[in-house]
Amino acid sequence: MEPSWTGDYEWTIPRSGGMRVPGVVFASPPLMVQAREDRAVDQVANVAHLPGIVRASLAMPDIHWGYGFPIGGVAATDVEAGGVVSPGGVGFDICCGVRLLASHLTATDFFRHGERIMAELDARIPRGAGKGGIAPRDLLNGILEHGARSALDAGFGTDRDLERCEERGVSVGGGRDWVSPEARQRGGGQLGSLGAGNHFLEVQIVDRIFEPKTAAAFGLESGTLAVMIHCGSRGLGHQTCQDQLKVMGPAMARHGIAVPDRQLACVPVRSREGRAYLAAMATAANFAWANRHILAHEARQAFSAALRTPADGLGLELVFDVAHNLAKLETHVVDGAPSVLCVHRKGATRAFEPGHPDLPDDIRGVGQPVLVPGSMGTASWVLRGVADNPAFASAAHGAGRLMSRGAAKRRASGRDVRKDLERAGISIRPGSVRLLAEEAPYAYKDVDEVARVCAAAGLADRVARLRPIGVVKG
Amino acid sequence: MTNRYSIVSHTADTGIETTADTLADAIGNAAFAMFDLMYDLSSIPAETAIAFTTVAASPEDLLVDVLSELLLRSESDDVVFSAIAVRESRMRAAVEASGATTVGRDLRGPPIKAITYHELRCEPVAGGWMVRVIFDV
Repeated sequence: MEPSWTGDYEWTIPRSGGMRVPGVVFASPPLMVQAREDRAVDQVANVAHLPGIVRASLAMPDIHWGYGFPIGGVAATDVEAGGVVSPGGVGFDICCGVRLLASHLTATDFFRHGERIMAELDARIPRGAGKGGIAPRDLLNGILEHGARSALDAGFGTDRDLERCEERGVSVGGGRDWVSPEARQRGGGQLGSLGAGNHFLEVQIVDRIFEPKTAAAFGLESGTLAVMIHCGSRGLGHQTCQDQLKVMGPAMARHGIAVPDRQLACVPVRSREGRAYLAAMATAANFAWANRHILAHEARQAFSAALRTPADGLGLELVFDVAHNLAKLETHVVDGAPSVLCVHRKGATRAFEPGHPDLPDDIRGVGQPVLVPGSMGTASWVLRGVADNPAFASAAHGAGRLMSRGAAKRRASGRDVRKDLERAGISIRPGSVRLLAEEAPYAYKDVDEVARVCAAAGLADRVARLRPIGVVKG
Repeated sequence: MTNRYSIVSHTADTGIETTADTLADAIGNAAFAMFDLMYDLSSIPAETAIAFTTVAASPEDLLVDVLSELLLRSESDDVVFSAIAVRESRMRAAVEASGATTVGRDLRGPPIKAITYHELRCEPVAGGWMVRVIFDV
């Protein structure tokens, strides 16, 4: 499966076998060399087999090997033409995403009070396996239907937190009865928790501004502190996807669908099973929106306690919250005509262009913020959606993993990684020192190159670069 | 104890392969591996025990069902299972597992979120059964 350079940072995988459309990977030559090191490119071709897929099976510059879909995969299916929805195109961590808060605080504030800030965050942000969520379990049912709105009503966060959240923090159509009792049992004690693996809360400094006007609209100012949170729907989402995959195997046979990888199991969007999946996905998404909303509230409380300042005086305002594991029904122009598509983004971020009606009023003119986190020791990026995006309004979701966990562990111990980060001036509060080794910065691709290629390929433009100074790691 | 399985390298996630004389033992090995990737099982006492049965249409489905149920019980009850016995007849598995709380116990690998179907294998081979499974972490 050899992709060939077809210009504008696009590599094309021609149709073969059962592929209904070609594959297209957005990458620079160095990123494509890395993408070829595992089976991600084969997975792009596999996704091209999905019934109803239009234009191409797409992959973002941070593409790497996943399960079923590649991480960084985008696929849109034509709903009215029998297009399918695939849980594998969303993943187990349904609505995993990133939330960014900007502040009026400066690097000087962190240098003076950083120890206290990190100690408060360390004590307040639950992480690791299993239970330990901030929010009481009795909020769960309301949140599964009303998402972050329900958390707001319970006293977490602010109205603006909803305004600046994708979907305004509520995925319509969700509700407790769409997910299994097992999913509710598994996630019930985890509301308001990071989890582990690559999830984190980082204190960052706005390091470089590329578009001053856009950055100002987003609330970002050079030299100020920001807080970035990366997490998802925890055990509730994981169990929901597992449950749905079990249902979808036999359903796929009933619909006469065959796919090259069982993890790509799918059913028509306009089928009973398809509607049930989308409702279950919305339910788990509501958990995730609320989860990040609650963690952001707790981060404000941590800063407030550390600086002995009321939380509303810190200016820790939401820049935006984006999902990077979701399937959404969106209207896009295909072959000159608007079509309702089911757009799967598996490790990819929605990137609406300026003027899109779904964007909040105060940033509609500049486009949607696209948050691209790095990897503890490296930068994170704020991009913005642009017109004529060639990937159904999608962009990268992170640096993209480069190295297996085993290979990363063989290179250095968790203690060594911690020392390196501290030598670089980054204060680190890991849930497990040992697990730091698997998440070391060198296990990921060059996030600066990923952001550059997003801009060069017309996926999203660069607004600001942020660098970490404090990391609370899951 | 890691000689009961080998690790399959994967860029983002983690996989294992194992073989055994019987389907039941191969599934048991895979279950052991799932928890062994997360915790040091050498020091886990048998403080709590569970038992369940599950029926599936194929060996692959039986494998996924057993692993999923164990993961669900583990995460819901904050328990890590270190001793897992599986009996199988006609695609019906009876599982008994024992272990102890995860509270206060260090992870040695990232928590496993789910059992994927990607490159899943559970099939007879010369002399027994082999299992290959990729976990989402």
